[in-house]
Amino acid sequence: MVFSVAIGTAMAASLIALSMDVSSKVSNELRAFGANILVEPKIEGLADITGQKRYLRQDDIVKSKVIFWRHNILGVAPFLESEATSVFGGKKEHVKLLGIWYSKKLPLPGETETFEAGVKSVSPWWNVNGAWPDSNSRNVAVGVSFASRSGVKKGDSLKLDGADFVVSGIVDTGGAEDDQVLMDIDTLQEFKGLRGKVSKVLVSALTTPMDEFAYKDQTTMSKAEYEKWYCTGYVTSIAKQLEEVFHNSRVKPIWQVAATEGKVLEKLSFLMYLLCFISLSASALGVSTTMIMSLLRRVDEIGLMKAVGADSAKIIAIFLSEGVVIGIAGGFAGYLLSIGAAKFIGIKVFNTAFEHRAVLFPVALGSALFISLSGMVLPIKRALRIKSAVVLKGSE
Amino acid sequence: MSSSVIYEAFWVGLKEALKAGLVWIVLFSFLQVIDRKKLSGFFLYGILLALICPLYVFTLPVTPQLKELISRSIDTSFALFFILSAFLLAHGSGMNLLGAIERAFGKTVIAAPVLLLLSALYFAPDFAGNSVFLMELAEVKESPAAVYISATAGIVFGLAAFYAARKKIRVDFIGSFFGLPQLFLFIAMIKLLGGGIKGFSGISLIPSVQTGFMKFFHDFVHQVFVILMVPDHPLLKTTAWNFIGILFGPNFSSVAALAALLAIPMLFLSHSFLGPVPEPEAETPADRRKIKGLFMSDRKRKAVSVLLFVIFIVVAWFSESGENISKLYIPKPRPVVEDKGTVMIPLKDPTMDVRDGALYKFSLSYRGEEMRILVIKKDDGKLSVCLDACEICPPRGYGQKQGFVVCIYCNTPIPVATLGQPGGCNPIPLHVLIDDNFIRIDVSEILQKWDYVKSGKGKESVK
Amino acid sequence: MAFIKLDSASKIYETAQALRGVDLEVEQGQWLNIVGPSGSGKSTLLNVIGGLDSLSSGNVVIDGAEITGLSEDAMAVFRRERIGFVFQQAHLIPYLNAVENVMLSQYFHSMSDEDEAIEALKRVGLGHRLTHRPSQLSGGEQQRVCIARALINSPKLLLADEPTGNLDRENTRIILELLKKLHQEEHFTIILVTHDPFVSQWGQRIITMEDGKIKCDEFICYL
Repeated sequence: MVFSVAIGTAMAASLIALSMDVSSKVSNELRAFGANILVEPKIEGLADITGQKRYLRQDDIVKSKVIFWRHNILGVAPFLESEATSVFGGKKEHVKLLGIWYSKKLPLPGETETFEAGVKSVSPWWNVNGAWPDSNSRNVAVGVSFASRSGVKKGDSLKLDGADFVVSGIVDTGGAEDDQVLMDIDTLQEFKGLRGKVSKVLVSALTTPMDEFAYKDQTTMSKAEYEKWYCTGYVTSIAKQLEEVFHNSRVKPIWQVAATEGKVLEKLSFLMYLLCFISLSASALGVSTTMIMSLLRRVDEIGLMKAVGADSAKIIAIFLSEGVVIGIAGGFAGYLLSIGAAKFIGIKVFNTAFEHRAVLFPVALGSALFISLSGMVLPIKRALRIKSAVVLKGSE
Repeated sequence: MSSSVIYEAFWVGLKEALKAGLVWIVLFSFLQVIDRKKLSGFFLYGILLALICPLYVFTLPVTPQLKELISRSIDTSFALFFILSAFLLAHGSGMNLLGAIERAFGKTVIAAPVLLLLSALYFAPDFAGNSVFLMELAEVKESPAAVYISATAGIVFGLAAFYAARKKIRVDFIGSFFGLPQLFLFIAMIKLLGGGIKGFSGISLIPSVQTGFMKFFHDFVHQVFVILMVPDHPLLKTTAWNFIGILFGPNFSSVAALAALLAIPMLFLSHSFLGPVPEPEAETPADRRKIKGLFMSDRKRKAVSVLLFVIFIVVAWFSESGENISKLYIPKPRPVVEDKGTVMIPLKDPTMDVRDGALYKFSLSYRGEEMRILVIKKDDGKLSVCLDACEICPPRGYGQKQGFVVCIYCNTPIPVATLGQPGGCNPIPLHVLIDDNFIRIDVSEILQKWDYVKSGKGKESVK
Repeated sequence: MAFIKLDSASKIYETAQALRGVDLEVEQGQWLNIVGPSGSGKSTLLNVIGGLDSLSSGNVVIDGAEITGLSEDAMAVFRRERIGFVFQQAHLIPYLNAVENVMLSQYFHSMSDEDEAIEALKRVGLGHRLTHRPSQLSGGEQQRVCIARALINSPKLLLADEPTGNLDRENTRIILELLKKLHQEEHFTIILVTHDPFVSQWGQRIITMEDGKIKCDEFICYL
């Protein structure tokens, strides 16, 4: 019986642990590093039809640090997109070029301080084997997929549209960039004759979490509400102000992504809790049947206790104390099991090392007690129905 | 937002009703068991009496002084009930005192006014605090009527729930778990867990009990030192104080406060389970056992509520300190005074160290006004000293959460590194002088900037 | 007022009628034996008096308390304070020793008291068998533990259902002698069901049951 409690507990506790672990990991990444605002060129008129490219002005980037909510802008990263034909080892290929800054210090107008822009501030998980390309050289970094497909290695020379570049590193981002050739924005601007232009800017801003109030129509707000809305750092307010400083731009929060991830996570958590509940119920059922079996062997005993004068409270107390003992023993065993199980599942399924939490112990103990005590309900009901006159009759 | 205001108002009402209902049921059960059911009416009159308090509060402007007064009186009324119960529990072994009180309980002349007074004392501060909270809620909302109606609905709903459940409640069963000390302890516990009022510096009573104890320890040790005439010794100033400082640190005092809070209930519990049982006179051994058994089971029953109290306190205590990380931490402002036009804030004293990375607030009362200053250490090691207000929001001040400073009014998180720079929802920086021991601020600097906040000029400039 | 008073007590089971309007009065301190053939209703009568079974009609008053219609828990309280039971089978808890089995009865009554339990076992002559498990005791010894258990809470009434049914003559005699000694010392009422004529001669009164009715009621010389 202790065993079945332990298994159920281990299952439940490890699922809960994992679910807490995964959600906190993901939400941490979302909150701390993710860019949550996208600045794009406004598309209007003929540009749409002709497919003519529109750009943002590189000079506007620094203005993101002079808006009202400037203190809440944690990171800004401009990107310039282009294309070229690459030649390596006699193989010709059409590749996408991406101009980036990894970490560039920009002077703030009228201030001595500088501020740092580039992918480091919005996507710090971008990883390079080698060096990021810098602005004064003809260096490029190639995406890891592109590298493995074409056989390009660090230090190789790569021809792009006939010009020679040196591969300074292999980049691993986990995104579309893995298939592209990355270089410094300034280099790309010069190479393609796009001086002072960027295609898009990602902004990571520290924002007030969106609440019901944030979605409210401003035109229907009272004066006090409008004032509150205006001085609250919602992602929408910050986006609106960025749109004002980037010339000809369209700025939108990219919470859709975050929201979807949150939804998936929510569903995953829900599934975990469901599984957890099922496993708890299953082992409670197991305890219940085992207990009833043992009760049937002890019918005489219960009958005698009743004859001697045990009232229902004392019968219940006897069963519950057995339940508590089983629960505590099973809880301990389950706790130990769950640590192992969570580690195993964490590595196998989520590919993430499991972080042990102190809260797991009370969780395990609690679920074990839940299993054993709820498993006692039916046996207790059965025990209370026992008639001593019948069971003590014996053979006559 | 708007509907959450309504929800909060509803919850405030519901909470008060549930609290009153719970206390009522337990008190009623207790009185029925000791056969003094009629006294329970006076408890209800006490609640009515307490209602005068919020009615009066509604006519007052909401000032920090008022909130301070209310939160003090909530603390005090908790302390009153806790000390009463602790006192009675301590006497739980020798029943003489209890007997005297119970005899007094038998006399309506004594019991009724006492009950009336206690009931009024118990509810008045909470009612007043919640009224203030409702007024603040109503301030955000265009139609305050909705807030008040919602709160009333909460009260009505809570009371209706109790009214509906009244037939199901086994009064004699509940009453058998309570003696007089247990009754007071239960009432104090309800206060401790449900007495917190939003928008007050101590969000719940537990941290305020903690700081209360911390202060008590500090004052006590300080007094002892004064008596021993050692405070000025140079040796003590550095090493010893650092060591003694541990005693005033939040960890130690939290544990110490917990121990002090639980000492008497624990003593009572151990007595209940292990204490000697008087040997009764009876004809047969079985009868003697029966009397002893009844005595012990009654004693254990009466211990259940105390045990619950202990468990609740421990859980609440640790979940509170655990939650401090994820919850908005809003320190209580420490009073500072101006001297010849300068305000001096010590960098370190036995109860605090402003360079420990936590948010510190100080309040200056000047010309009958209260102005708050916040101090926090930035990542680069520099201290940032600002007004506890930004240019645009009403001056509710800031809290601290996960490495950010968060505006209480608009909930906007602000990176600590940007503190000291004006603009946005950042607190307004102050020009200060910092030396080895003190932060020095000109009063005129504070006044000028605080007036600016109050005038709402910052708001105009944004628009 | 009689200690036990049954008033037209009837018990109908699904298949048969066990008691058909029994009227019976038993004085305090009396030793009453019930005899009769199998199925005559004697055990049912005992169970009804002990509150283990309820009547279909009629009522039972014991020691001035009307027990018909009491709730199960109230009945349990009544039993543990006023009645002791001895059954044909010992019904001792197998994993508890003799003292603990007696203490169990104390526990359900109020609280356990080991010294008192040991004293009780000594009185039934088992001072040397205190920590033996039921399986280590002979049938007669087991039954003596049962008597100690039944009397530990000083009941006013001892109900014994074929207490010697499983014992040989020698052990039967020991048990009966013991009961007699305790009965004389403590003056509780005994109602004993038996079909053994030897056993039925111990006591002060014999009633003979047949077909759910009292057929014969005689007072005998107390041995």
